[in-house]
Amino acid sequence: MNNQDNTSEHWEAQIKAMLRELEIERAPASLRARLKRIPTEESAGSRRWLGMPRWVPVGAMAAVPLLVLAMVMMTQSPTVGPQQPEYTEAEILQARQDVLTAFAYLERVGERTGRQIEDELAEQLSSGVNDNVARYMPFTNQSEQEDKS
Amino acid sequence: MKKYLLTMAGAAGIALLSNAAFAQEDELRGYPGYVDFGQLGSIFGEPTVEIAIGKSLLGLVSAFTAGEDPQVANLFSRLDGVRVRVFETDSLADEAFDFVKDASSQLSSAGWESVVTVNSADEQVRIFMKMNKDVVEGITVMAVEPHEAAFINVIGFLDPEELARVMDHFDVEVHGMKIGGDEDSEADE
Repeated sequence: MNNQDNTSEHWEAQIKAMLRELEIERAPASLRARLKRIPTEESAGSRRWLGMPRWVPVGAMAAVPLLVLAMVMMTQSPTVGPQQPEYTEAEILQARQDVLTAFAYLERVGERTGRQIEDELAEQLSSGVNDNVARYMPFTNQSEQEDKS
Repeated sequence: MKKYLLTMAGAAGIALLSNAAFAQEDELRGYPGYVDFGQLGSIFGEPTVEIAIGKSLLGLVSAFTAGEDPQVANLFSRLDGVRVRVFETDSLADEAFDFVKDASSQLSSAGWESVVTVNSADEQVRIFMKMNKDVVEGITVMAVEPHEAAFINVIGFLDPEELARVMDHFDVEVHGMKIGGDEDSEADE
């Protein structure tokens, strides 16, 4: 048993010595150059996404919350909206003229409908009064007819 | 890289601008006295007069008028919006009359109170008010004649007496017809 162990140790030492003596074959220079380029190409490739530089989608992703925040601020409340636009004096005067034009339309419609309602009421009232007068005082109607003839 | 930057900036700009327009419309829609006149264009075509003034500009108009007439300025400041659309209706009087009837029933079902109704052969007028208890939140006027249709929506409180006072103070011409200002004094003479 002991003799057997010594033999295997002897063989192991002999193989190791032979391996140490082996000369390492060097790869061709062109292959080594190509292998050296791989890490650089890999890292360059990793910086692109769907054909775009990687910072583009990153920037876009960063802009999304800003856009959402801006939209929320603008839609939430009339007072918490975007900065009020600045108007020139001419624009304010024009706006006042526009409001007055709107009022003028209101006034015109009001006046016209008022007149129409007054006319309608007057007509109905007068015909109502005339009918009653003619019914209870027929001579009035008769005298009117005589006057006309 | 520049191309991508420009594309991104453009997209963001368009998104913000269109959102601002929607926000403005939403701001007006938020008021109870607001009436959507959106479908008028599809019936009557291009308006001859189109006015839409929001609260911010009315505030500036109020401030601008305060030195001239504080009471008129106060009236402007109480308004949230003024919208007017006027159309020529030469060839579509019947269609316009039908629209007024439909719109009136829609306003009534939306809680607007009919104040004045004029139905004559050549004219239809409807005046509606939106009330919240004793507060007037809006006035809507639809007036259709054979040649013209006017749709007015005042958002906020407008007292008719104040309106008369404003019209007395300022001279305004609508289609060559002078309203307010010297007109009354001429009539008095």
